[in-house]
Amino acid sequence: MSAPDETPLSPAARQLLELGDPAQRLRVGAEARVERRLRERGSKRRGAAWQRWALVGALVSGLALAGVGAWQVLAPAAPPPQPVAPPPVPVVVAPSPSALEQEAAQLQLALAALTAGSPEQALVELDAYAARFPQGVLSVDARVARARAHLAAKQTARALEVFETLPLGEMPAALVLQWADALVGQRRCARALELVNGLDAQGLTPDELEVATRLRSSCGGATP
Amino acid sequence: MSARAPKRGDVYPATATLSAVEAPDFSFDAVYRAHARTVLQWVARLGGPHLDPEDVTHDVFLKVEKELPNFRGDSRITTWLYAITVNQVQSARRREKFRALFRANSEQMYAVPDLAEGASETLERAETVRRLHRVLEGLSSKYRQVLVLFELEGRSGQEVAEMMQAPVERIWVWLHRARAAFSTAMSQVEAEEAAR
Repeated sequence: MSAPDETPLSPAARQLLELGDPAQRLRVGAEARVERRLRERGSKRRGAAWQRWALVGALVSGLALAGVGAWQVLAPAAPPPQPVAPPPVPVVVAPSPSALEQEAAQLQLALAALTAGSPEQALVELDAYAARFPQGVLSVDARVARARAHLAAKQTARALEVFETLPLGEMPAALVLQWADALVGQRRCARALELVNGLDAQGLTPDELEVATRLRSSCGGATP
Repeated sequence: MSARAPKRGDVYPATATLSAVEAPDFSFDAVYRAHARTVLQWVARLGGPHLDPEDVTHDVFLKVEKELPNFRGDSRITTWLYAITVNQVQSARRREKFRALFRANSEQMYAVPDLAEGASETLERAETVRRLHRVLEGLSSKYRQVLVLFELEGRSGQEVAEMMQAPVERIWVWLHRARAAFSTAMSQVEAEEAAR
């Protein structure tokens, strides 16, 4: 059956669909990365199965040992088995949702100011956030916002200080590139190149790859 | 000579090759190799700007691994995979909405850096993708799907009908409305951008 005669998409709409197709911006090596994660999970599951069987084995042998222990208790000359204190169980206290909501709301004030082009106001809100939630769940997000606010306020040196406190291994590539860009602006090419070269090129989007290449070439003539 | 339907007791001719009669390979590895790219593309197109296509594709194939032994080949494998993908995308979008309450403005925080000279082309391309996401986000899931499958992937109406499990006549109606909704949403997004 063919499509009924009707108005097709306008050329502008078709152009937007084709040029903006998000599938064209999938990162290089995406299939291989997903496959690797699936395999790692599979081996972990096999590991977990092995652990379950080890646990069953331990329980069975524990029961056997308990049987032997009981026999020894009943035996007149046997010393009583010493009770073994269980290992302490770590207790994780989850923050209440209302506390998280308050924290998120405070951070949102800072982000809104940043988006509205008021980095100074954003920094005021971030100071308030740090005072109210010194151990906040969103403290890393707050530091990211602080770094960006300093950059927007042209306080590059302070932004770089904040960037250095962020967990590099957990940072998205785009943010690392922004950090590297700020470093290049301060002629600190050695650190910038260290950051850029530390990124997994296979995991970068085409845009990020382009930015990384540009940063490398900017540092090409500079003395590290 | 017209072909007749095979009957019980028919013997395959000796010249028939093995590949002509062997069943398609529905092992997990084979399905992954043949369809991982397609699933990634579906997720990227239907998931919106906040989902990581690799994360959701990972979840899709975990589900596929679990359900594949029950796949009896009643439908095409692509139709079956598509249904799983749409379910996973919708769950991920729901989770993301909840997370957004706590991690507001992540797109702004993690956006590709706005570098000075020479970056205009890159930014323009990124802006086009963002604009398309904004337009697609203004449509219902049904319209988004029909546009992606028909207009972007160039599938036939019959295929789209199978994948979306709806009569083909309904697909044409949805497509007509989706095109109109897309144009309206595009105009709105352009007007909003012009007003900034």
